[in-house]
Amino acid sequence: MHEVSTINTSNTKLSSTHKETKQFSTFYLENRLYGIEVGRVQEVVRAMTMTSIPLAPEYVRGLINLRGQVATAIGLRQLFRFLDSMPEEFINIVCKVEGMLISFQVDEIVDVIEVSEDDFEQTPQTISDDIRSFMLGVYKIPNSLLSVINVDNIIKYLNAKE
Amino acid sequence: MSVQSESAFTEYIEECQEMLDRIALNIEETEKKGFHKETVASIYRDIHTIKGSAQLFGFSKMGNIAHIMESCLDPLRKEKIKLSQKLLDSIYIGIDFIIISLENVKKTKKEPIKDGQLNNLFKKFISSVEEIFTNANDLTKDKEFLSEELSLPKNSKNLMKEIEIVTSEISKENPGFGLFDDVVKPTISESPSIPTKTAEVTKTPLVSSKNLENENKKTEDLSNNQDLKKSTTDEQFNETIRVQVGLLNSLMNLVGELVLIRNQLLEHAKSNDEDPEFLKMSQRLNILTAELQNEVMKTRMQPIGNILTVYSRVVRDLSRELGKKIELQLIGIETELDKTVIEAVKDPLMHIVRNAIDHGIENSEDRKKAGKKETALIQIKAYNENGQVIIEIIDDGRGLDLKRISEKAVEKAIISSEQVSKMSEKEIQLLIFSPGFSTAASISNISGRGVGMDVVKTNVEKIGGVVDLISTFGLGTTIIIKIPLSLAILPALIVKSHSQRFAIPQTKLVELLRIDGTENTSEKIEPLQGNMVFRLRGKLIPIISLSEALFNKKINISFINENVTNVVILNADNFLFGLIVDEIDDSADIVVKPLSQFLKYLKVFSGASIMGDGSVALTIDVLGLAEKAHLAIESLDTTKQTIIKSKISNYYHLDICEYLLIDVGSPSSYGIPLSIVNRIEEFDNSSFEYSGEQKVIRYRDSLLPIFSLPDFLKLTFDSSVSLNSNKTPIIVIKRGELYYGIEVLAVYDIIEISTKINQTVKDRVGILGTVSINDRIIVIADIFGMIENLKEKLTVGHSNSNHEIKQIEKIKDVKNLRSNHRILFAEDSSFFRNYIKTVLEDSGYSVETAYDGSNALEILESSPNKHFSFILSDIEMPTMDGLEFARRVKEKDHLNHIPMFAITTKYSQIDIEEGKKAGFLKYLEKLNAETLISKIDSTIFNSKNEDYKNA
Repeated sequence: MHEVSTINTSNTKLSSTHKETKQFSTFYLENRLYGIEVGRVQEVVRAMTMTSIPLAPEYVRGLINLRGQVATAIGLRQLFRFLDSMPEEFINIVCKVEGMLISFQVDEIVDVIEVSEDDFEQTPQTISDDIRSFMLGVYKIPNSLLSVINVDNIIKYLNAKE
Repeated sequence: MSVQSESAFTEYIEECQEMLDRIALNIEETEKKGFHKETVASIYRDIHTIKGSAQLFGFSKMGNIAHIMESCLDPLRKEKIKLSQKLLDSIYIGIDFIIISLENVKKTKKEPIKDGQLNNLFKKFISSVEEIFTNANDLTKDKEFLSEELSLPKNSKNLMKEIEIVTSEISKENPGFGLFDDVVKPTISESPSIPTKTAEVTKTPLVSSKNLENENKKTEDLSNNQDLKKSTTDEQFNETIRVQVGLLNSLMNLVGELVLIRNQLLEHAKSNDEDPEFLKMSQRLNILTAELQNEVMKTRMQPIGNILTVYSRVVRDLSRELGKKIELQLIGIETELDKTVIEAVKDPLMHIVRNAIDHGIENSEDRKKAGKKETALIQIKAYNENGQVIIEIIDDGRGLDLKRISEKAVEKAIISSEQVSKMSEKEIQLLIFSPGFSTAASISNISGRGVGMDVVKTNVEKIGGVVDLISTFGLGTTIIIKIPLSLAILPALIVKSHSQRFAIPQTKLVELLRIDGTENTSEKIEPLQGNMVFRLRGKLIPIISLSEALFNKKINISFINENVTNVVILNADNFLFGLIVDEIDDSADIVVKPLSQFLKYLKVFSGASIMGDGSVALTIDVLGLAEKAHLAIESLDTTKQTIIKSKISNYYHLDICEYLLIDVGSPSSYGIPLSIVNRIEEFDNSSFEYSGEQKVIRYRDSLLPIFSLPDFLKLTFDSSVSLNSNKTPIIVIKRGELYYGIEVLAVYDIIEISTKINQTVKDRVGILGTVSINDRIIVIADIFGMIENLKEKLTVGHSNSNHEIKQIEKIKDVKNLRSNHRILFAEDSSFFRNYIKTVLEDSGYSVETAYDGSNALEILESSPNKHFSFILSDIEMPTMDGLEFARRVKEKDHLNHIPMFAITTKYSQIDIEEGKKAGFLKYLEKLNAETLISKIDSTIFNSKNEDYKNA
């Protein structure tokens, strides 16, 4: 620990804006850029045969077979209520949360982006409270804004809806 | 005996080690990541179990430390104090102590007495624990302080007191049960710090070590005998090999995967059945896989007796401590269970037995007072049934005290007092499974910390089982644990609904039926009050549709009558019901995986599994499905079985009626019996027209006269519902051949009531009476009376019956006359049955009722001494209708003289003629009480005129 701090301090002498960086797996939802922290993502798979669950809420899209394991697919579009102009196909971003396999359905997958903490901002107040709780914040990147998904809050929301 | 004790001991060691490992992991995690509720709860549970088993074997030092650790963790678990490094340290020290003790115990089978290292650890632990309580002051910000000398915060004082009491209790406890050569020297003397401190605080004397030594000497004699038997055990073990359970587990998993591939292969073979060689090979593989699966399952099967025999000592031990006389009976100890299942069920069983001894069984005095045998009986029964293993723990103790349970539940804020007042007996009993619940007045180290029953339920449900209980206050309690034989692979039936596949576990499957609606048999699916029922070999079973339950696709009864329907008869906890599915596919062995946490509330599904073709199918939870379709559960006290009553059977035989709740501008609720309601419509105000002064509306090719109920009642209350809306609700009633529309202010709901109509208070025409439910009354409107009244105003002429009534009423003691006569009244609608019966009885007749034609015949046949003067019957009845009934009666010589009237809503000319042919003298209309009585009177008394005159 001691060494790192000395390195940091030396760096701060050189450039005052060098802080830690984070990596996000990014994707599009309705042409807006979102991301999930790379450490939380297990894999990304194309759309596959899904078994729908009767009586489940709208955003629970169904169950998929992931190499012998059953994963639950959650439609992020439905959660964020982007309900018009649904694309034909989705991509699944699979995360392991609290022992369950959750697959988030998104429009299109983009690259892994590295951003600096300096560019972090809180989600603006203009976004409605319930959707804001699903996001950790926003990062400013060249030409765009990256909204970061708060996976834990989404799970909390799913658990609370009983 | 000693073989068992040997294996029991080894199991104890292994289990402890497993738990210690787990605790170590959890503690590390808590230290790194901070307080996490589930982790701390897990540590707590493990320590609780370690404490219990240590005490069982008489390792009191370990038990002591575990108990103290438990007390330290409890406030943390309940989030009353914050996590502190000191607390973690103490736990670490405590764990070290137990680990080292366990090592010694493993080698020497007794707790070390003079181990310096252990003693140091013990002292360190005690002092560390003290510091927590001192520091707790800062953490909890407790305002009340003890006396300045000690400056220990109040809550810690209580804890210390508790520990002192408990540790003295532990040392008084019979150390071990003579299993081993274990003599526990008084431990109190070796841990000076706690007792002396607490002595200062509480000023109670130390436990005298002399008492302990005396007791220990007694047990020493006993244990010496046991030593000799131990040596013979070694020989018997040569036939077996010890295998790591982990190895067997991975073997099971591999077999599970093999089963899945086998399924896929079979599916493939079905569609590609050209190659005979391939088919032969796949068939062979199928057989081999099934055999392999069976054998591997067997390797893990153990007779439940292995864990049960330990219990006789537990019972002896505890009963001596508590001063109660208890006999333990073990039935079915050879029943075999999978090892993992036994592991999972061991703790819950222990808890339940301890609870039964501690709380359930009364002491000898109370038992004598209650007239019971002094020696209480606890039975542990295990048996196989339906692919499940059932374990029952039956005691003849004091049973569950509903009042205390409700009080405690409200006290612990598990439930509100309002909710409790609405709960059924069974629901209140089931409250004991709520987390944090315990009715023990004081916490003993046996039970009472509020962990017990909740842990039991969680553990049992984790392995896919259920816990149920039957208890009668004063008589005893039975706790039933049902666990599936196999945890992993389940034989299931695959069905299709709405083109989607679902799996139904075969253990719940009773029968498959194929019902051809076009055939004319008595076994048909019939509609009953909006639901469907089926007569299965005479027994009435409710039917629900899977597509309706899951996809809201209602099934048309006409569709059923024209097509073939597939029905699966399912068993939901001893209650049968039928499920209509679109297709029945095949049976398959599936591996069921649980659904994600947040989907668990969908009670209709118990999990998901991967099919042979790789797709995912949901597994139906049969009980959950039954619940969703509103088939409620209730237990009868007479038979110790849970019998489920469905709405449908209620309609059939019991006096439950449906009423339509309406608003007539009165503060009280008004109701119309649903059986007379034909339709509920809503019309635009503009569509009403007038014929003279009579409001009418065009309805289905004719004119519907509209009578306004609020207007008719002429109530003087201010109307709360403003008539701003453009639409008016109209209730369409059919009376005879004519339709009438009853105008009301609003239609609210449909309600089910089982009480009779009270006719004592009705101040005007238009009111039949009142029924009372929970907190209010509902006024029942007399619709037919109103229509009659309004019609009279419109048309000229009265019926002659009024004249007749006055005639007969003039005769004195007319009621007495009537009381000599008995009327048999057959009617399937409980409302009418109730109502007419009341009317007749009020007028003086004695009445017997039947619910259909065959029942009426039974009554007539079964009591020839009971002379019936009159028969009144409905026409529309199930099983045997009024016409058939009348014909039967006329056939019998000893019955055909009894005059019969039909009382019905169906009285077209054709109906009346048919009825008269069958034997009915007259057709009367329902709900016209006055004419009814007068006509009955005239028939009975006019025909008996001669007799009467002579009498």
